[in-house]
Amino acid sequence: METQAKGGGTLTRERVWKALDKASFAVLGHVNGAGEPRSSGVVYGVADGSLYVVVAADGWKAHDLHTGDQVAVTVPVRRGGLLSLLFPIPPATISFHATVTVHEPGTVRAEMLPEDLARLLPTNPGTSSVLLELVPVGAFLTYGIGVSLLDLARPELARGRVAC
Amino acid sequence: MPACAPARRPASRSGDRGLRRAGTTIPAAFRDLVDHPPVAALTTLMPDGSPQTSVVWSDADGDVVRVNTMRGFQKDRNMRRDPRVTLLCFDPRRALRYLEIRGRVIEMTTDDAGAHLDALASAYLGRAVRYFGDVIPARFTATETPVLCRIQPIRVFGLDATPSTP
Repeated sequence: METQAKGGGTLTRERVWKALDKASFAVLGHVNGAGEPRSSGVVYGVADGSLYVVVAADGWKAHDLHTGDQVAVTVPVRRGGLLSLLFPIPPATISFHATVTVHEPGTVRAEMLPEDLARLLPTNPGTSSVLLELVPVGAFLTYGIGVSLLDLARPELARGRVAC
Repeated sequence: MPACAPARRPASRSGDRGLRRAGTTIPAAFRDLVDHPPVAALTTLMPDGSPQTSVVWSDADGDVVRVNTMRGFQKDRNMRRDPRVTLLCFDPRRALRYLEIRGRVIEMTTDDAGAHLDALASAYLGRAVRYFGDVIPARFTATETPVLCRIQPIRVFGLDATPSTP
């Protein structure tokens, strides 16, 4: 599945996943028990078509999120390299909805995970954490992925959409 | 837990640790993230109660945060129906330092919305521009109407989990 980005580049699902794999920080938007919106920054790892996030077992996200919930995810993607330090280059972003699976404390041990994901788990023996698995659903809405740096500042060219 | 292929790049620990500041106003230590945050992600509520997050340009007028959208966009419809929002402001170069502003939309107006959009575009692009004409084609003025949205913070959380330099 691929679409032609308006800026002339080609936007593919594989290209989006590659960008997700290179990044590691996301904004996680969710809803709490009172139906209020919440957002926070999370560090994630990618494996097998899912994003994985470790959160404190006694934290808001572990309290608010349950298996089957839907969250909104936005991943900023750095582009421009050194140029971005010299010129204001808008960040590229990937936004999508995802369905949550909560892996409760004690159900996931570091040795069950690939090394890179295991590093997300706390090493402190007294620290309890929850692993959130986020499976993208629907479409990736992108800004600045698959387009030239020049087109990053032109919203009508920089926007793209491709099925997850 | 499915069998997982290794992620390509190691991810560091969760940002759940670090310096936290909470209050009802924007803390001075995080003020830079509100004036023209490199990235601001606005989360609104869809009709079914699920979250919708989109990247927006924003700035602040005192403690009131301002974002700009277009009439009829999803977030515009969401905010008119339910004014509860949250805005996460951060710099991708220091992503573990961020500010979450939970608040309510207290005003949505087209008055001065175009001038505000031009000011935002100029601030974000680093040069004086007009949104319609310089950022997107001028013909869109016929179909898109800017809406200035003012958000009153109710609860503000700042987190700085950036590793300290030795």
